[in-house]
Amino acid sequence: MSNLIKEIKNLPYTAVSHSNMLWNKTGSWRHIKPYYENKIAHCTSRCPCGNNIAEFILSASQGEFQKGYEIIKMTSPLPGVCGRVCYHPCETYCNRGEFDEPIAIQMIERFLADYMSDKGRIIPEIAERKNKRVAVIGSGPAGLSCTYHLALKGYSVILFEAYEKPGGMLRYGIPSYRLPKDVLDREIKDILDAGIELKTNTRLGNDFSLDNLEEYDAVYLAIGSNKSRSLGLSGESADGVFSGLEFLERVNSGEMVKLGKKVIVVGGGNTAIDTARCALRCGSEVTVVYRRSRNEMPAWQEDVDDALEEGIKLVFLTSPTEILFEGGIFKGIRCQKMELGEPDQSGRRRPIPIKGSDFTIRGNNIIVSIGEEPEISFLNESFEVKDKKVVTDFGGFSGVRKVFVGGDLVYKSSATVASAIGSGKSGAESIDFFLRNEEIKAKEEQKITEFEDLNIDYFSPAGKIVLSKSDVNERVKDFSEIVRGVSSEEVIYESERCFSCGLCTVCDNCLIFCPDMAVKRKDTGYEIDYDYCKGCGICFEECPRNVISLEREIKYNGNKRKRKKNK
Amino acid sequence: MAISVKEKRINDQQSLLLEGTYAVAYAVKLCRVKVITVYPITPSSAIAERLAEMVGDEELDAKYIKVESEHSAMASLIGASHVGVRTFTATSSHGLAYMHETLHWASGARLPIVMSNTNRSLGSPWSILAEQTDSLSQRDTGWIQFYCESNQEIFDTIIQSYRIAERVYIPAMINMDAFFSTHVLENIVIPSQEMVDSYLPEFKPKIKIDLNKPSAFGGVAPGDSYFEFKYKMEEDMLKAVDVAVKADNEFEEIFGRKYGIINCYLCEDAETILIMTGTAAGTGRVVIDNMRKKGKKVGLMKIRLFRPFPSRAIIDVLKNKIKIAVIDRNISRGVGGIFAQEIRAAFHNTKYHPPIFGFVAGLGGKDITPEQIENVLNYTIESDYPDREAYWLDIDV
Ligand SMILES: Cc1cc2nc3c(=O)[nH]c(=O)nc-3n(C[C@H](O)[C@H](O)[C@H](O)COP(=O)(O)OP(=O)(O)OC[C@H]3O[C@@H](n4cnc5c(N)ncnc54)[C@H](O)[C@@H]3O)c2cc1C
Ligand code: SF4
Ligand code: SF4
Ligand code: SF4
Repeated sequence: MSNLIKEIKNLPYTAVSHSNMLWNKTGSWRHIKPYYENKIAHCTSRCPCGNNIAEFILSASQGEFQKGYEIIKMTSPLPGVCGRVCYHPCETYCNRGEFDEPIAIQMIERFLADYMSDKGRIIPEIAERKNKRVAVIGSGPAGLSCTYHLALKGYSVILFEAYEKPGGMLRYGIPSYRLPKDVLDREIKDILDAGIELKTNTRLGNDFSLDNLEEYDAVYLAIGSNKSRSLGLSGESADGVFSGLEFLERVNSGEMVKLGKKVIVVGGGNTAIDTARCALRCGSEVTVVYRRSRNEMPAWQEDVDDALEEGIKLVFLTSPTEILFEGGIFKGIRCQKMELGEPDQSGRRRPIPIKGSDFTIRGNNIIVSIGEEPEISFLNESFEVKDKKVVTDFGGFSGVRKVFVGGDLVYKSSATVASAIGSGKSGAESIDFFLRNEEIKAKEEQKITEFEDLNIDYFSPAGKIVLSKSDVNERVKDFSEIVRGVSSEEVIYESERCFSCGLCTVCDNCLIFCPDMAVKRKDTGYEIDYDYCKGCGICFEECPRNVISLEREIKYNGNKRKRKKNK
Repeated sequence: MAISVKEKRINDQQSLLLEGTYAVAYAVKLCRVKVITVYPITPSSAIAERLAEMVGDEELDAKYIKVESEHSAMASLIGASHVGVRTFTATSSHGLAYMHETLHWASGARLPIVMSNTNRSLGSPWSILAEQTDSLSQRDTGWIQFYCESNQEIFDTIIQSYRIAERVYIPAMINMDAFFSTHVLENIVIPSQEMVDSYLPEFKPKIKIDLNKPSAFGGVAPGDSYFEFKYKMEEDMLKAVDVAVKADNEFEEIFGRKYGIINCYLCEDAETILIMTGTAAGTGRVVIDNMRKKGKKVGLMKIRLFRPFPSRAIIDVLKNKIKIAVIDRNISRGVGGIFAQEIRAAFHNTKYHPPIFGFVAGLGGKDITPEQIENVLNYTIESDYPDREAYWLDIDV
């Protein structure tokens, strides 16, 4: 008893020890194993260009605009273009959209491109020059992107273009109120400055054939889908009748096309809406006639809203049956009312004519914008063609020796600028594999961080920046850009809203929360010390942005075997 | 209570009309608490709210940690207290029950954390009204426990508790009745910061986390040392009775108020003593007065300190009494009211054995009325011996 009391006297009042616990390798308790692994943000997984959105936004949030721009330039040579005309699927899939409002990704992209516009050309490092030459045909976004990525890989590229200037639909299709020409010129110049030989006014099928390209090691065909479909009615050659692309091409070349007072546009797609808005800017009253209802319109909804706001009339469920003309001059159309039936192949409800519903719309001009298809009459039968488009494998290979195909020309392509840019990039990658005599590999599936993967306790609500457009009464007077840019302060604010899904921001949360201090900071990110990580998974839970993953620990059964042996 | 406020101090003090919850918050602020964690729970939430305001308005320089549970609230304070700062949390009922495990750890680690608990019933069935079973079922967790009657007493006990806890390195829980205390306004004398500072100097624990001297706390205690740590803690816990008495006396010197670890009313010449706790004790005194007028020799003892249990002080008063009645607003199922049981146990090894009548009343916030209390005393006076562990008021008596 007395001994004990003496000891108790020496005992501190609380259990404290000055030795450490490093001998206790708690790692042996682990049955799940966390590991550090950056992932693809939901937005990025949906960007057809493959832009590393989370990364460029993180740079923007730190005010490092040049760095952000450089990150985009790794994947896309046309951020100023996409920052304006891309339909930004990234924003539709932005995880923040499930929290409050999506990040204005497209505007951030546009800002970075515009910010760098007067800062000189910046392109990623060019690989060592290779002794191989590639011919790219068509200088739309697909051709430009393929050219750019091939050049970065060190290939010599010659770019053939039927028109006087490069750009494809970006130049001759999309009007400058949505995509100013100087933005386009600037970005194309940056691409060409990488030592690209450009041959304009040179049309495949007229000026040369694929057979003339023997000297090139590979060919990339990206001639788009540039022929307006016709209505198939007599009188389409009357005076005052235009095709949508023809009209847009003239307007986009700077011509103030002379139109009458009343213009009828037929169609419901982007071409129809752009056509109508250009006609309005040429001084006419415009009515768009579409055979289905607003729900089925393939045009981008926001553009349709803009058109309506600008005073364009939309007449739905109406289809022209006859072109009226007198003395070779267009006078108007006979139309039929339609009703919607069962869904067709496209999933949209099929329009069915209503008997006896004919009526007349009078006008001075009609612009037929009911869709485009490629002009490929010069291609031989070795190409597999479906729906007037070329069928390729996942890498863009056509099946014909050394010919790769991209952009709108490809069967089942999604016919957007960004997907054309993306296909140009993957085309360049395939060509690279091909020229190195390697098998063309599909991209490895990467893990995507979706909303459910985040720990949203770390984020508080904050509204999206307000994007504004120029006044409707002013903007219809000319072709100047409608959507206003934003300030650097607004971009920083907006970028700070980004969750950085799947991207480690070095916030140290995992390190702070780990009860075993097993998370260690390294230059390259974080490392987990498996001698001590006991697999509690707290780092996984507390990483706001899903950078830590968990996997089942491989069971060690060496002992078991040994024991058996002993028996 | 005799209040003899010294002339000079009157000028420094302030008087505010406060609910019990706010009284707690004001006391915590004056104690210069450095870390506060809270998970709000009715009826104690206003404590958290008022403290949040104080921290937000920079009236109080403290870290205020919003936690996801009471378990985390206590766990966080365990960490904070190891660093050597004054800490506080407030809870009630289910929240306290949820803390159970960490309560043991806090006391075992000898951390002088102070916590207010609002005595509220535990479900099922659901009730948010007054009952002491929540804190009494934590009696074995090694915390000092006080049960308070008035809002001023709550306020003063918070301040005293830091002093006691920091002397014996044992955490303290200050209990108050749901709604009867928390939501009732009372005029509270708020002492000056200077007065509180002089009573409660900066907390400087002997052992704390020190970056220059890395140590591990609460690791495995091998061999006999676990047993010895527990012995040492029990020694200090028992000492806490005297420490509490001393702290109360010292408090009186500065603040002019004193409560005693037990409080006796007309006990000296009384033959039958009624024992009560919490706000109901106030009603008890009124009944004593009335019965005295009718010539009955009755007195009231309020027990304020429950852990450590002040057996000696209690026996000293009760030893020569004829009968004792205990009203418990709590229940340990199978044995009756908890205070009654503790008092019976305290008598056991003495030579005095007055009959002790246990009464259970007011569970789930039911009123304990003067009529009931008078019935209790009359029943006790008229009966020779209790024939059961506890009588349920209005059902059995
Ligand atoms: C009016 C309009 C508006 C649009 N708006 C948008 C929009 O806002 N957002 C969006 O994402 N998408 C929009 N699109 C679709 C988008 O423009 C196309 O999907 C995209 O341009 C396709 O790119 P591409 O490179 O495959 O083809 P194109 O852009 O069509 O480029 C093909 C190029 O090849 C050239 N070429 C054609 N034939 C030959 C030949 N035989 N020899 C040599 N060169 C040839 C053409 O002159 C052209 O330069 C719009 C399309 C139109 C028509
Ligand atoms: S290209 Fe389009 S989808 Fe990709 S980031 Fe830009 S706006 Fe988004
Ligand atoms: S929050 Fe940021 S990283 Fe996440 S999906 Fe949206 S833009 Fe992409
Ligand atoms: S918690 Fe922070 S530091 Fe750790 S992996 Fe996630 S983002 Fe990176």
